Amino acid sequence: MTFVKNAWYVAARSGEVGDKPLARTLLDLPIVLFRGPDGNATALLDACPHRAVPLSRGTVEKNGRIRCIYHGLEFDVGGVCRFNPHVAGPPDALRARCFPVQERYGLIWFWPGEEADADPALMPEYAEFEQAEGYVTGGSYTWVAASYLLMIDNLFDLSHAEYLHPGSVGTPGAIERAQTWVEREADSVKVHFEIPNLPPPKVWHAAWDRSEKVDQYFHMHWTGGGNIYMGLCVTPTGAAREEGWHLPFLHLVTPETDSSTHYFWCFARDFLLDNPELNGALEDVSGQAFNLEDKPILESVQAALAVPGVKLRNFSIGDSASSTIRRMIERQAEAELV
Amino acid sequence: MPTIVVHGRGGNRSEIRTESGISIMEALRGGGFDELSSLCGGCCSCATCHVYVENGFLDALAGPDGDEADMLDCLAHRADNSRLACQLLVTDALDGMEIRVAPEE
Repeated sequence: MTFVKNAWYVAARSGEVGDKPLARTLLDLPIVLFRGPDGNATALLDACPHRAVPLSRGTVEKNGRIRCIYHGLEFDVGGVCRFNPHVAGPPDALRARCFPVQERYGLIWFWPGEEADADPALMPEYAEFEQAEGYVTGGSYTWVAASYLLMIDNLFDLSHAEYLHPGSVGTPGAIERAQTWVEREADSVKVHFEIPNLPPPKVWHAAWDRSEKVDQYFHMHWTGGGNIYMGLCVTPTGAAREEGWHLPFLHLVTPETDSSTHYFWCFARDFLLDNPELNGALEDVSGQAFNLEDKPILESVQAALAVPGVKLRNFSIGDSASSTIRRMIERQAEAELV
Repeated sequence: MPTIVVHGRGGNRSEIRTESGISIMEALRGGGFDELSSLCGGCCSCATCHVYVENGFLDALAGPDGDEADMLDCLAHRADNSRLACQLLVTDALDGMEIRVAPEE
């Protein structure tokens, strides 16, 4: 399977990780996440270095260590064994693999590759999601039984929205007037999708009252691993971009296995900031699109690809963008094997 | 009117007489040569019109530009003389050019 290991991936939403162990498979690795005494999150390989029992079956003790359910060994947030009642002398030669972790944008990120290369400066920059003034953020999580590569294909092919999502995030009629173009750089790919002068899709109905028709400006920007930023600006038809409302989305897809994905999606809005109920409406309609519309389709595609003779073909501009991303991922993954 | 010689995947050889100013992909289709699937219709998004430019004509062609170069870069069967037929404009200077259809990806 094609995974780039030397990249930052989202492991969990911040609120998911506390003083109870959270077990999660990430890039085929069993991982246990928990918080230590200072509240900092950690990610350890979820296998006790003694007899390989999942540490997540144990408990996080008041001292901030995770205790193995099998023999009571305790490991600190760095994975170092600090207590072993079965041996005399210092227990700290026994270690569980510890992965570099960062907490940012309300998410816990981990680096599955070489520890020495885990530079926090390599994390993607999402200014609007950094508790920025002028923005309210929301979002959720969707588990999908399909490869993260299929999810990237789906996100970069916005032409599917009006067909699969006509009652949520799609804009019927977009295909006849949308402008689509791709920008490719050495380690990132961006596709632009702009839909002029059509009524806004349902996801805007709880908020938008500025005009009957709107111009919609999307761009999808992949910057490595499974990290995709979607810029979204909506203006009254013909108005300047600066007058628009902005709803940037993060689509962060972390491979669970070669055929399943943890999909973390987050949005930030710069409009109607004093309306706390708007997040619920945005999450409901987005959730409808991702959970009830994208998810079953991508899962059926994943299943179909097991059938001999079934293959993916590209012909849209979005397809060409995601095929470039797939190639970049393949090359990076091959380079890591050398 | 220039003539383009095309070698198909099965070793078949066709001569296509074509007007100038259209793409090689369109010229082949117009001439009844149907081995190129050209799924995207010529907008440089699918790379299914991948051909090899033979007999010294590579230098007579402009490009490839950024998008075509990026698409070529994704191909497993890429060679130094790889081009996408939809991006090649027929001119009188291409009279006698031979191209060979690349294997399917």
